[in-house]
Amino acid sequence: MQGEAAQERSELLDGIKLEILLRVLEGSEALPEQMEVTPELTALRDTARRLRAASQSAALPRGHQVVRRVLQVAARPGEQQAAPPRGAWRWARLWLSTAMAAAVVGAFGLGAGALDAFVLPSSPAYGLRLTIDRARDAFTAGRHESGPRIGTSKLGHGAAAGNSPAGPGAPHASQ
Amino acid sequence: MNGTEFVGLYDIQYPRIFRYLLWRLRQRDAAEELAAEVFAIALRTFQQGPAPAQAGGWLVDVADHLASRTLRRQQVEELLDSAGLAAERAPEELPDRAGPAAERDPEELAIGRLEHETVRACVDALNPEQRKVLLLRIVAGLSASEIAETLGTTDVMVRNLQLRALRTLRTIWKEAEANAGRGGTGAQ
Repeated sequence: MQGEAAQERSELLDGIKLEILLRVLEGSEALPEQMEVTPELTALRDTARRLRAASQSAALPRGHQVVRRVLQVAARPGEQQAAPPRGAWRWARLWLSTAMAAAVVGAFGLGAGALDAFVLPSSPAYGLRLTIDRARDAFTAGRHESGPRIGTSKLGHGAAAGNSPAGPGAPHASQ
Repeated sequence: MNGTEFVGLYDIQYPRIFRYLLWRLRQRDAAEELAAEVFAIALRTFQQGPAPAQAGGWLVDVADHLASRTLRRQQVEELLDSAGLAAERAPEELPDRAGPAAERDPEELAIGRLEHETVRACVDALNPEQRKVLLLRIVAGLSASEIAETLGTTDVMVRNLQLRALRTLRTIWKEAEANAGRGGTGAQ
């Protein structure tokens, strides 16, 4: 049992020493002066060195510089995206789309007459409403002939006669 | 990780990843292709979130996964080939074995192909566990703790495993050299 334990300790120590020798081989560490290295460990280090040399003898492909340049370019947009705060862009997009939606609904409402009750003649939007109405009349001529035009109300007796049920346009009971 | 840091990582890790893949696949073109794929995956991953603490180990892990996938696919193709079921493939899609690709590289020839082949044969004679540890430690250049993390074991286990692997490799190597010496075609 003691022999096995001693063997295990020795293996453990050899493993640690070999790890140090491999680090020295890679150049990442200097060999501690007081470390005892057995001939077997030196031979194992040399085996590792030969294996390393054999693996490194394979030249890198010529394309690896091309891949490097491609990755360099591909890595850049990530930085540009990261630079401006994304939250600001999100808010700007939200505000712009809300304003556009409001403008579209407002214009449609003015054109369809749905907002007539809200656009008083004293309001500055009344001029816009008239312009829209005239433009609509120009495109759809005759559409409003049966009813009074906004802003062009007929005043006086003629208007009253024209608008009354018994006016010139009204059907006579005798006919 | 910004662009400069990523390119810095590429400069350090590319040779390791490429050589590790070359050792596993034995096909220069496939190793080159997969090495580029590893870094493309890394770029996408690192742009979406933080880079892992041990980027070297993470890259080797990805390379290992891709290499295993490629080898499995090749095994299936070979099986189909042997059964006469292979689909018609264009000549450029046929597997490019190490021979012709290596011959295109004069540097590799200059260093000594015989030594390289001997080393490869000896490493292939190791058991899979020992071979993996040696490739990760010596070829991919991972530290013992990085290997432990990759394999899901402890540093002590990795150190013991690499000790035993190097002992076995040395024995096999000696035998191979003795055989080559007797045959009159010494590797050295």
